[in-house]
Amino acid sequence: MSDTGKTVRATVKSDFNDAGTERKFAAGETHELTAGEFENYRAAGLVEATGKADAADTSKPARAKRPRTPRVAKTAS
Amino acid sequence: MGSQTAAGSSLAISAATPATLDAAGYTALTFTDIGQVEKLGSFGASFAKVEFQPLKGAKQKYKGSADYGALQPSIAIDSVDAGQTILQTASDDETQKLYSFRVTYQDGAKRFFQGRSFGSPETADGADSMLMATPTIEICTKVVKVAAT
Repeated sequence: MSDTGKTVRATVKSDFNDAGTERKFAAGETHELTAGEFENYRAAGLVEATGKADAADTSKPARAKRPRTPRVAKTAS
Repeated sequence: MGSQTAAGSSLAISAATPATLDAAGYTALTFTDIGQVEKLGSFGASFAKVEFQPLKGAKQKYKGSADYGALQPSIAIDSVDAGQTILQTASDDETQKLYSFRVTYQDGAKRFFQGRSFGSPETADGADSMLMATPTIEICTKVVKVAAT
């Protein structure tokens, strides 16, 4: 993926280092990564998008159905 | 620059594929350096030799199909190196997915290509040696050469 200036907030799944940038990442940390960096690290199973794991838990509960109210027919007055 | 040593050269990998198989396409990608590389080895295209011996005259030789070769770097295993982890993922990948690679020389010249890693055997040699991996990256596209700027 190319870097288009877009960044991704990522959670580190396991400790790793980047030899090119000399950045160190520790498990549990969150980092702002370029889209390209994120795609490479994600492909290797090193990071995941922050909030992705919680997404299922935080989804809105299904809305209760509103009782249907019968329409009142308009009467000419 | 003319001649140069191999010192300072590096190998990098990207899980992404370029939009176009040229310098612009590859330079738009984000690469992750593979750490602890000892040697890159030789790589580049070679052509099959097609020969024909007519009854009269000398043997004729033609260039056949191109083989872009393979890269066989030797790497000291570092389990927390991101580039090595991506390369290991490429080696374990059972699909036909192509990964992008970048070789950078000391003077900044670059070589780009796509390939598949056909495995990464590990070597535990004598006590006074590092644990090494020697992946075989089969090059599947033309090597794009970008001169140093």
